[in-house]
Amino acid sequence: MAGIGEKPVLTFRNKLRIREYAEGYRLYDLIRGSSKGREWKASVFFFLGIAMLFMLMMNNFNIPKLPVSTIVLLICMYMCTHYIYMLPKKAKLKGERIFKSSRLLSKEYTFQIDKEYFIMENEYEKLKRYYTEITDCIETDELFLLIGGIKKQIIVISKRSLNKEENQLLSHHFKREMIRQYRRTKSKHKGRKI
Amino acid sequence: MKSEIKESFLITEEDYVNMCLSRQKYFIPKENKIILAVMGIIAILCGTAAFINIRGNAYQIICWFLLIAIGLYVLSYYEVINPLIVKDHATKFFRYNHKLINSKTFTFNSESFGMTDQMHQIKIPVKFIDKIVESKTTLLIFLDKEEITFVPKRVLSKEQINIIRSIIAEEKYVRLPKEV
Repeated sequence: MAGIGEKPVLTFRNKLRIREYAEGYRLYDLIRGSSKGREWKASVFFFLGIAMLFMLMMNNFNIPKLPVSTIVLLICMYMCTHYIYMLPKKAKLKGERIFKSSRLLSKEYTFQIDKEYFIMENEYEKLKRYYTEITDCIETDELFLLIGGIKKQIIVISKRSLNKEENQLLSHHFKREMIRQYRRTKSKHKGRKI
Repeated sequence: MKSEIKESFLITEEDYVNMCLSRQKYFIPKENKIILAVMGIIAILCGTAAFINIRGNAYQIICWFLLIAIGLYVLSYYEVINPLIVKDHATKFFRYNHKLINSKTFTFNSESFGMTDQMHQIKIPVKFIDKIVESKTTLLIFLDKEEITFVPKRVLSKEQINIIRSIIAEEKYVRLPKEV
């Protein structure tokens, strides 16, 4: 599929595990999904909660006198927990559910990385994606996450099946070809194997 | 009855919008619709009752009208407002990405399902399909809980749709109400 006289940059086989896909989905949800902007949403509820707490303090925590403030405070506490803790967890669980429901995601894919596009292929499916279709390329310690396109919006490449040189080569290649989309983030589970 | 289906077609803007509307309709739980409808009706009734019985000063009257307006908004959200938002998003997405939505070839028989375009080729056994959802305009084919590929019903004859229905297990085939 590479141009005449052009060799692919890298070819490798990749098989995902459920937790790798779930982690990729969690990242996707943070960047493009329902968890997008959760920090500022949580901070709105946090400051509203602080204001309600302050009102209650001014009235010596006389709850029967200020029932609305108490209810609003409880709602704010719930919403903060929802945005900060529950939403990412939910996304991860959703990722696991998607992986379990798909017969294709758990299959081994062959990736052919070229200069302007990559091809992922197995016995059932073949997908060609240009880097211009990618909206986000995220690298963590364990995986590469490619977001974009119409079909298969989330593509997760596990670093587990690549050796150190291949990992570096792929990282440099993505960084070079997708300057605007590329980002490297720290893994949430440092030191923990996926 | 011919049991092999093979159709090539182009996705139009209308097809894409219909697919998005059908998908949205499928994903919204019925309970959400009922809860919002009940809340809307309560708000409208409260606002109307307060306007008739209490009325009050100008500020209060504005409040009652606001309550009725909120009730109407909530009541019509899933039936009117949400489809308009989805339609708008889908139209913008299609116009921005129309180069990516190429001509497709759809194949279906008792053994396998296939969908081919310039960028993506897939041929999987029928048992790999998670679900097929039929709306008035579109057949949504779920490859997993989220990944969807679709065929506009305009490219399929009634006989062909019946073949698909007969091949797919009953629990995997969902028919949406006709108002999509």
